[in-house]
Amino acid sequence: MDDSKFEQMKAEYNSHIFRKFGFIILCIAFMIVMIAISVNIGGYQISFMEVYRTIFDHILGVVPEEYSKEWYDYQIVWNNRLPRILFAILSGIGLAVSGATMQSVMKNPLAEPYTTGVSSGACFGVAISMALGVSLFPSLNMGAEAFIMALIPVAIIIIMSPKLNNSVATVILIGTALTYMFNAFSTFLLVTTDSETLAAIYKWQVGSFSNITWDRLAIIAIFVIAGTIIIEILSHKLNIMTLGDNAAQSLGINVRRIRILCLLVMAIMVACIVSYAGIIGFVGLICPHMIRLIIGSDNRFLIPAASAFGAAFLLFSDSCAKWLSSLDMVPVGAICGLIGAPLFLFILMHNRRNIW
Amino acid sequence: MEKKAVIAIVAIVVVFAAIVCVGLLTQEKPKYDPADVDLSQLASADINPCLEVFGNVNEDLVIDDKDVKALESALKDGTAKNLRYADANFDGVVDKNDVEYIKKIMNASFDNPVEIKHIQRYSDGDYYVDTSKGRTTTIPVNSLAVTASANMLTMFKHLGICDEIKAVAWYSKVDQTLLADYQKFFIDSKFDVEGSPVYRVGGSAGYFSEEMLTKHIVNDGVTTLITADNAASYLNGPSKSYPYGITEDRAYELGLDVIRVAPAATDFESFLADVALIALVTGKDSSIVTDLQSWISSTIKEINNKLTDRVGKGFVKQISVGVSSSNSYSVTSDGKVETSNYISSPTSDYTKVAMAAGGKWVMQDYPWKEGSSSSSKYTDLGKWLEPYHLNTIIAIKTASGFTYYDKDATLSSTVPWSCMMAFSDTEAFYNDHVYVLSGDLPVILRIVYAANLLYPEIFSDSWAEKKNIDYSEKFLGISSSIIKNGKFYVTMEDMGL
Repeated sequence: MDDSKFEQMKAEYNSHIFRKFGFIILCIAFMIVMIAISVNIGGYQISFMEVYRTIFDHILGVVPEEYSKEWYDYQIVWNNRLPRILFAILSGIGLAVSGATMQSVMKNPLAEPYTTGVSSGACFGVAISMALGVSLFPSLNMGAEAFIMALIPVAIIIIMSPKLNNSVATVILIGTALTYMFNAFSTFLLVTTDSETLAAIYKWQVGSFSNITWDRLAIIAIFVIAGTIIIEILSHKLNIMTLGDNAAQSLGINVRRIRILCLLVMAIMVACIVSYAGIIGFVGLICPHMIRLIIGSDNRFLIPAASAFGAAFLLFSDSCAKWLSSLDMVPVGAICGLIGAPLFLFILMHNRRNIW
Repeated sequence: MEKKAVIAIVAIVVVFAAIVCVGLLTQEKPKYDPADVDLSQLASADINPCLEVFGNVNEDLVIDDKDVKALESALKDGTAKNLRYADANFDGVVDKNDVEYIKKIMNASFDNPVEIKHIQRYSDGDYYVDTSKGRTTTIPVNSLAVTASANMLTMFKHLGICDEIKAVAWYSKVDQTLLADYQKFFIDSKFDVEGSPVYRVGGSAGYFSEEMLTKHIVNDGVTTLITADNAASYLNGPSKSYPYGITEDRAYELGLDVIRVAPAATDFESFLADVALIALVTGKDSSIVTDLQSWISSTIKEINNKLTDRVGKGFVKQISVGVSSSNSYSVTSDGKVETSNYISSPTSDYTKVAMAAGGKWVMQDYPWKEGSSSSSKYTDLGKWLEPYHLNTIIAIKTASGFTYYDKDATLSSTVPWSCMMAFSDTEAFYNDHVYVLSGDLPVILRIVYAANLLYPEIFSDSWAEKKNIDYSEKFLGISSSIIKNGKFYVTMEDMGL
């Protein structure tokens, strides 16, 4: 190969890599802009400058006089809006990364974080608590109950799949069966309950980021960030696994172990998010596909891009929901679908490359 | 002569005997065994409410000079420590500082606010838990956040409190006719009415959003939050439906004083104590409380006397009754019936209305869940009630379940009274004894109408209407023409069932 062709190839490769990094940086920049806007959105009007003065004062350790306007500004900005914004970001990261990983591990474009039955397990936990007024774990709050119930389907998958042929299809089928089973359990409970409880459970299902405090956020952050880092470390192995189980094993990858590890990490991340935010659809399924259309399927870039895009997208959706109603009347999951679906179709139509 | 005298005497005796016989024959005999009657659940007419605020030394309904004199006298004779509310400044000691504090309370103004300590009652499910921990409120107050339920707003209406309300939490709108002054609060989004302030701070009566509440604290100077005494459902933190809900402790952290009241209580001492407390806190004239006390007491006495006289002595059979707390009925497009029904438990305020009206409680052996206000949900059109042979079922509906119904208006098919079909397989339904009663009525009037429904032969429609007119004019400022033109319960015929 002569030098000019080599230089041309090198330039193309650099451009290719630059495009991926550029997309990630663009998503992060958009997310930062959204943070700046979102912190100003809410039922209590605080001016743009006052919001940032409040944040900077808190960082600098300035304590406003109790019950002064500045004090109330601080309560709302620091104790209400910022945790909610960070929760939306972490949820976006967790769901998008889980979706991208799930699709890579299962080699199925329709796989998403809830395919393992996490959402139906959590929903069943909430249904027991609300419809029957029974606490399976009396010492824990409802969020913790939903978290534990969300992990049960995944635990069943992990136990059962080695006893069967341990293939991807098996895992998906078991997950689907468990989803139906837990949904059936929930349905039995819900048909016997009153309309008010039904409405309450439905409201939980459609998702909200309101119920978050700094200490809960810390727990979610640990799980989501740690999970994302683990997935990123495994990303090059996930790339090899796309060649097929036999090929991957021949290259020294312990496919079964990687698959189970990914399932476990995803399940914990998603269970954490679902137990506090409810079931937020679209992000885990469609966001990874949108990113693949732009930067391709290399998991080493796909995972961080999914993090950035998922975070920005979910934060944007939550900001819209907050602007429309300060009392959570507009579910963030619905906004995700309303904004995301046309966006996805637009990208799909303008990019004729196969995404899968 | 002698013969005529004898005939006259015999005639008188015969006539007298005939009169006696006729009298004995026409005397009303008890139709049923009085032992089959249980009137033990009638409300007590002996109502002695007390303003449960420290400084109310003589335990009446106001804090005034009499309390000052009572405390001074008690301090002189050494009996002050026995007085329940003598420690007005709540420093743990009863001394002349409390006398001065009572004077401060009496002279409280916006320039000289005073902190009072009051008993805060909570209910956990259906029973009341007296708390020995008093809560404090700085008075006077002219800017409130409130639970905007029909019961609560009706309570405020007694005192003329409306403009003082700056923030409301509500689930469904209240009656437009009976609570016309309060309709301005039921705007729920920034898009609703151009230029109108938005008062709503919660999507349900018991859930207050911190952000929205803060807006009113800062912009409108809200200092006090008034909500219901049910600690499980009101101001109990976030729920899955309302994740933004704050707790009572958080409300205090935000600088609010919290007052819990029982606006739907059939315990009229509690109800009147709460009205007196709100009057003190808002600086309203509390003389209405004494008038209410007299009116309610005399009405209860009237109802009790008539019931004891007629039902207690067996002349009128006691009616077994169940009160519905919630029910639904619908038919799907393929003809499938979807229904559910409940009956309120004996500790529910709704049930107590029926019992105060002389209804007989017959469901003692049902497995009521402790702390629950209703039975389990049933989907069998009421067949589960067969063993109890309920003669009458009354549903007390508030807000969207029953709005003011103009007697001349045609019954709207959209009003969800067809939900009473949920009881279509009960004796009460077969006998046309299923009713819906307005929950927008004050509790005493609910008892009046319930008595009218259960015992029309004792308590006539005109009697109930007269009571309603009298109460509404005296205490709620609602004109008689509105009441006369209104319908406060609906029958099965009205419902088209």
